[in-house]
Parts: sequence; C-alpha cells; structure tokens
Amino acid sequence: MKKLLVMFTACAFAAIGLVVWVLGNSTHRGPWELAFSLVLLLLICSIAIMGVRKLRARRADEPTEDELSKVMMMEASSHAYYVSIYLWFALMLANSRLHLGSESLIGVGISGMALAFLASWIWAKTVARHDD
Amino acid sequence: MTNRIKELRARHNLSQLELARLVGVRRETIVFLEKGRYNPSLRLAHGVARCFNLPIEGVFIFDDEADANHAG
Repeated sequence: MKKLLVMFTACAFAAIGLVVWVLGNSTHRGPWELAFSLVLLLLICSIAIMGVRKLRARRADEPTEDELSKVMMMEASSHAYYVSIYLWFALMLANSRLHLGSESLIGVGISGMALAFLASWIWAKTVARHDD
Repeated sequence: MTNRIKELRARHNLSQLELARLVGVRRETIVFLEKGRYNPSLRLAHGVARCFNLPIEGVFIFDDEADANHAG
C-alpha cells in the first residue's frame, strides 16, 4: 500500500507541476518545451496506469508483486541504467554543438532516462524471456 | 526447460487465476510459466508441483539436449 501511495503521490506532483507550467507564461513555448511536456505527460500516464493495475490486483486479492515482477523490474532497471549512461555521454557530446542551457540539458537527460526505463519495462513485459 | 502446467491445470479443472491464487503469485506469472518464458525459483516450482500432488520432476521437464543447444 505504501508503494501505491508513493506512486500516486509522485504522479500527482508531476501532474500538478506540468499543469502549472502549461498554464503559466506561454510566450516562451518552443518545440523543445512541447516535446518535453509530451514526454512528461507520457510518463505521468504510465505511472498512473501502473498504479491502477496494482490497485486492481490488490482489490482482487492478488499479490501486487511476486518473484516474476521483481525479476522484470530488476532487468528493466539494469537495461535502463546502461542506456542512461550512454545517453548522458551522447548528450554531453551533442551539447558541444547544440549548446543547450543547463536546465534544458538536465531536463532532456532525465526525460531520456525515464523513457529508457519505460521502454525497458515494456520490453521485459512483452518480448523478453526470463529463463536464464 | 519445459513444463506440463497447462495440461495439469486442465486435468484438475483449474483456471490460471485459481492456480495463481493457490501458489500465491500473480496470474501473469502462471501465463509466463506456461509459455516457457520464465524459469521459476525452486520455491515456486515446489509450490506449483504441490498443487498437483506431483513431484517437481512431474511438472517441470529439464531437457538436457535442448538446453545444451540453447547454451551453445
């Protein structure tokens, strides 16, 4: 139950932050900001979907996690870690040409890490075999 | 490694959800086991075998030849 509360709380804070940012000063909206807000929206929806699935499992008296879900989470996390390392490396190299501000660079990096984890988790759920 | 979970489940008239509840795992785990996409832990294998009143070897089949080809 604690994990569910943490998930929904994080989701709520991220959603509130996004809404405040969107409703704020709209004169400085560029393609990067739009892409960033779409990525953030995707991540918020993904966390919300995961939380709802866990809540449904809890209400159906199913365990919210078991050995397979823990294995999937570990595999997704480790793959996302490797991708994230090289992502930051590529961003640092690309920044020498793109000249992104530090805030934008950090935002892109963190968004990329979150997307990498989401992609890894989807891969672990749908395609990967866990028979090592 | 292959298994006879689907066959035994049908024989005992158990749904995937019912078997999952008996063993204490999520239904998704049973689905992955039946499709051969997950090798269970010893504890889970023992729990599944106990549901069917069989030894572990009666439910899970370790195919030496197939696994050697997969590893090589």
